[in-house]
Amino acid sequence: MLEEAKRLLEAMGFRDVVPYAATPQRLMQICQRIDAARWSRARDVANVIAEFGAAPYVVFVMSVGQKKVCVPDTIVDGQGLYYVHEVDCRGRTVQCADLARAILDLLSLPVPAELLLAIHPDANELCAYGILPPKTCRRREERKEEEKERLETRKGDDAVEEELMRQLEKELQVEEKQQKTQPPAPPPAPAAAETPADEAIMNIRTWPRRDKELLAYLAAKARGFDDLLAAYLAEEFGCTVEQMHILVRRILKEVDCRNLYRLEQ
Amino acid sequence: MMLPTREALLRAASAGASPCIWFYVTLLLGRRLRDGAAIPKCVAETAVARILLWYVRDGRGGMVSLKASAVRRAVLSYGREHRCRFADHEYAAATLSKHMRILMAFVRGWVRAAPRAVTRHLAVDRQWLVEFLTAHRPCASEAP
Repeated sequence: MLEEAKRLLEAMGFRDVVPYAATPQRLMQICQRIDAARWSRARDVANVIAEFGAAPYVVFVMSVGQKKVCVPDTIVDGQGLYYVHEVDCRGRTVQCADLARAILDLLSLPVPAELLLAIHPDANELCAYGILPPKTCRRREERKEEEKERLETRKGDDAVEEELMRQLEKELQVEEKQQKTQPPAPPPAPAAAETPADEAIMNIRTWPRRDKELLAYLAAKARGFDDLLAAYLAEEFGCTVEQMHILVRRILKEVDCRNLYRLEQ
Repeated sequence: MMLPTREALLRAASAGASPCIWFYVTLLLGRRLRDGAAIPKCVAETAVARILLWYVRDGRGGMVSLKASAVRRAVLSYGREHRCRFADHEYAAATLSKHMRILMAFVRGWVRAAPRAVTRHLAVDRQWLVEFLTAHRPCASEAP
């Protein structure tokens, strides 16, 4: 494995890398993304490495500015010895990302896009060089298209909104002009007191306002007292005025106060 | 671009403004006006009231449904009938769907005030609704 790693580095133009041995604990200090919790979980990687017979293990540490990105970023053997290849990625992050991808391919490991993007953050460039997995690039492309469409729709909507605002302004200006040319309208009379009778009703102090308004409203429409009574009962019980007229007629005709003492009991 | 102001809208709401204003108001809810203010709530309510009044006025008796679908249909028909701009535009239908929650808050308030309303189905007596909406002046206390 060490030989293969060396060959890969040389083939990709990284000649000055000298590997050194490190314990998993030391590796955890170097690589921020590696945590002990992953050791037991990443069984597939353990199997792959076991199949390769790759012990001691190989890890590439890409130095990108202040941060160090480890490839692969999973440690599976807490007891193993790791050969660390520190690669200086200053000014050649694309090549480093390419190298990371080649390493992962070599180890038959999946290529996590976020690991490559941690080395070189420009996804478009990685897609253009074919370093990022095509699936990820397609998804990004689709997302970009969707975003573009959304933006275009939004832009279209903004234009419509602005046009609507202009229309509203135009209508309001026409309205204002018309208002100025028309003589001022007489002040509207209060809704609930249009006639002296209404006013009298509204002046009753002991009644609740709602009752006064209802009386004024019904009285204005009623043809007489019976009609008013029927209208009130219709309003109260949710029946029609015609139904209540029949009831009122019956009350007026049939009620005999002499028989009502039973009600009082 | 000249934008309307809150004052101009309030003035329009207290005087009987030209029809398309109400249609535009329902679509422009939430937009900032020239003076930085939003479209006043009472203007929005006036808009819905005027549109629904137009929609139910010519019907005959009985109950009328004020469910969201009916209100949405009323606003769009109103825009089309009055030949307001963008009434047939997809934007109008989509924007109106977004604004339905605001519009329905007013409608629910009216249904609560209605006698003999079937609140569950937002159905009210047509005659009552016409009388109510004719007299309804939400901006009366805010007019400049």
